[in-house]
Amino acid sequence: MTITTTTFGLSRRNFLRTGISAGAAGLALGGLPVLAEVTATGGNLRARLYADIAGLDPAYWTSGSDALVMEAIFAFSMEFEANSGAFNAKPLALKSVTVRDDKHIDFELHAGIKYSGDYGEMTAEDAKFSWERIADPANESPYAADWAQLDHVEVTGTHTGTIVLKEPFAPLFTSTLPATSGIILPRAAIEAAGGQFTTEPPVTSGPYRIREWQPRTRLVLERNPDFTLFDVAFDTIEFLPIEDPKTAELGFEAGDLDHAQTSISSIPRYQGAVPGGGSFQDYTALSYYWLGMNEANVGLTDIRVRRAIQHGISREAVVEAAYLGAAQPAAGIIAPGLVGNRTENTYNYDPDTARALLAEAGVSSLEISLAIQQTAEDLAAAQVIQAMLADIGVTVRIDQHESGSFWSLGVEADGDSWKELQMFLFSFTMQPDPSWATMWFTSDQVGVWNWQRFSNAEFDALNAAAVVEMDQAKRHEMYVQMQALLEESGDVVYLTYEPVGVLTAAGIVSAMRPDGWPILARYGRA
Amino acid sequence: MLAYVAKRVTLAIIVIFTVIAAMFVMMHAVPGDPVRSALGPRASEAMIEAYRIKLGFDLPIWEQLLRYYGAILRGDLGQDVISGTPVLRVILSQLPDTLMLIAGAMSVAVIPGIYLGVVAASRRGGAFDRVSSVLAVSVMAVPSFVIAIYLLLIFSISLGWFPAIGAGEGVAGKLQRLVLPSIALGLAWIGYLSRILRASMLEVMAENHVRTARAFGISRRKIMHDYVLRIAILPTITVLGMGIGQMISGAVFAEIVFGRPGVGKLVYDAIANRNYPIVTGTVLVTTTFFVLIGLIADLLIAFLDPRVRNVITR
Repeated sequence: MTITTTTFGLSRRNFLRTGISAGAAGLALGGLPVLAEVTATGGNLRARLYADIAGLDPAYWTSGSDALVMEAIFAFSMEFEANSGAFNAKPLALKSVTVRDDKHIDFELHAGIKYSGDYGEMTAEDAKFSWERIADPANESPYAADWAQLDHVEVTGTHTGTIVLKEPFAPLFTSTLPATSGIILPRAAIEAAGGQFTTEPPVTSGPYRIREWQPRTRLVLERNPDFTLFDVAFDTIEFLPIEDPKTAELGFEAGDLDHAQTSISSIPRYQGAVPGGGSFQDYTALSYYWLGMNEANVGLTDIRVRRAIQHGISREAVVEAAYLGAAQPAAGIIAPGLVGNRTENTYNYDPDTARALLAEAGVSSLEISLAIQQTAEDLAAAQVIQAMLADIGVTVRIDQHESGSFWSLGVEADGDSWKELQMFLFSFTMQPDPSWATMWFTSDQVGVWNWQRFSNAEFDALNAAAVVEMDQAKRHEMYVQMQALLEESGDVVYLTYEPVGVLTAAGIVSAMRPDGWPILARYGRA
Repeated sequence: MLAYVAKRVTLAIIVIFTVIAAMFVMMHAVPGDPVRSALGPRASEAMIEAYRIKLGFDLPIWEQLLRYYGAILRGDLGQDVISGTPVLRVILSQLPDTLMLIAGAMSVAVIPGIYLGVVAASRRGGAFDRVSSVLAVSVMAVPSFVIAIYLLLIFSISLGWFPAIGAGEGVAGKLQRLVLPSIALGLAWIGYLSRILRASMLEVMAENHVRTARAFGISRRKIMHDYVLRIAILPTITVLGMGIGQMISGAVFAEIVFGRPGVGKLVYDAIANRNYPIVTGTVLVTTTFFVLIGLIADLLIAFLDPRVRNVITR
């Protein structure tokens, strides 16, 4: 069956019929918030970048800012439909995708997609080179996992080929082809650049191309006249690296920006009124926020203690304090709208049970540390947790860390601090495939990003199996079960999925994914 | 004089190398890993280790330091861990914006500061002196970031006179975006300079040569300019030299609040990312700048004060 546009479906039959499941541009990575503040003046769209670009090579990019720019300068294989309210992926550079069977996916590229410079037209040979390049262990791409099951790409014509997989691979249509790992580049350009590049791409193919880059000051993209896959509304996009969302808000209010992602603390204010006749929308990001407990720490080895802490914390109260009513309590780590979203928590707020569990464990005056980052949200959440756990007889000491120190606390390779680590507040972001949420909690991640040191053979097996499970209903159940196992261990208290507030001035039509990610090349005018 | 300059330059080099050594030790003493920041969470341990070796981060600190000293002498400040861009290129791309900001802030501070200091001293105890004293203490007491935010709220958002963010393009655009951050950074220095100059002038005015000049019937204006200010300005020049150095660090808040590029923000971000080459490279450049400004201030004092000049040339 050939697909030109697809939407998310749960059944294997539906999946095979339509060929493509939930889409995923999935560009945010590494805990970075995103990102769009845009202003339109004439044919110019000015957009805020959370940070300056650091690497635009699909095999080696580093931040959400990179991904946002890559989306504008490269013709992605597939893209997410804007403003649909769901993660619907549809082909872009690919004219069609046909799922022949679980391991063979035929594709056809649009003819006439031109690269910049003298690199000619996009071909199936380029697709083979680009995708196999990321998958090849010799190239040490951090994104090799996006093509983990790729056996090879078979070229059958100038614009046609077949993706041959070793095993079925569900994220292919959610976080590989519609994301940066699906970008197609010509071999000659990459080889001319010495095998990889950073901030100066040797070639582009997207709706925009780079006109000028002043590091940490501005990046100006201009319309690519050779791009024909869709029309763009603005002649140029000007990116300004502005890290602080409050600064961006002021920029919006001063009229320097027409579209801005707000800070979390400003969401309630903008829900009330938007300056200058603009509009405000709020989204639920894919970022998940939880309290973790290091089960290897001597104070937390007894599961009854960890369970008492689970019962001692009201998720509603924590989320209300930290997110000022802008978010809802979570029952897992996979956001609503994705396969595997869990709706019911097992261990809820019950201080009497918590006290009983502590008594049963023989714990009378427990003192425990809670590591957090220096953010208003973390501090507010930590203070509420501190107060609630005091109510069950647990004294919490809040340890604030600047981000560089915080992110090494549980990493074994960075020293012995993981041994002292007890409780911590964590937030990870992800691409719109559930495998991105669970991959950090496997046994081989213990001491890397699995700071809970949670190790469960069933979880590991499910995690491996769910990636190759093509029946979306089964896959959903597997991820729900994984989150249940994680909660059952007593190592986590699921808190929320982070809210994203977006301001847009009158006259601008934003193009957004359901998680608040802007698709800038698709922005238009009212 | 040449020997003096040579001596000061030698001292400056020792200071710079010592500061670099201290930075190296401090950066390695705090937890955090630049390689993990650079490669992201999905990098395998093997990739991380390979990159660490490639960057020389696996070597003992003393060896890294010696290599760095050697590289500095070759004019190589290393590469940005995250983007791979040469550090010198990164710093040089940011330095002009910071220097413009400091120049703007100094422009805001120096002329009003000197004027207020001179007038307050010459009208000691009068209404102007009292009012200027209160104002000086007020602007020194209010944190610069508070001033910055109120400037933004009033002049950008309410009145719409100035843009709020960015560095701007072209001379007019850059100057327009320089006004508010310069005021925010320089306002407190009006207070510092006026208070220092006032105190210094009052001290000089009490000296015998000023009294003698008055006895000779020399005009008050000439006394204040030729006999008082010329001497009283010397400590102000020293403070100004140090102030320029301090403004480099003070520029961080202005660069954050006003969304401007600059070395202050650069080093702030680099520390958060444990981007060691950027941190050490920036510290090297700013320390050199600081030392250079100090040297210029000393030479200026020597030029203005024959007593100092005699000591140096002796």
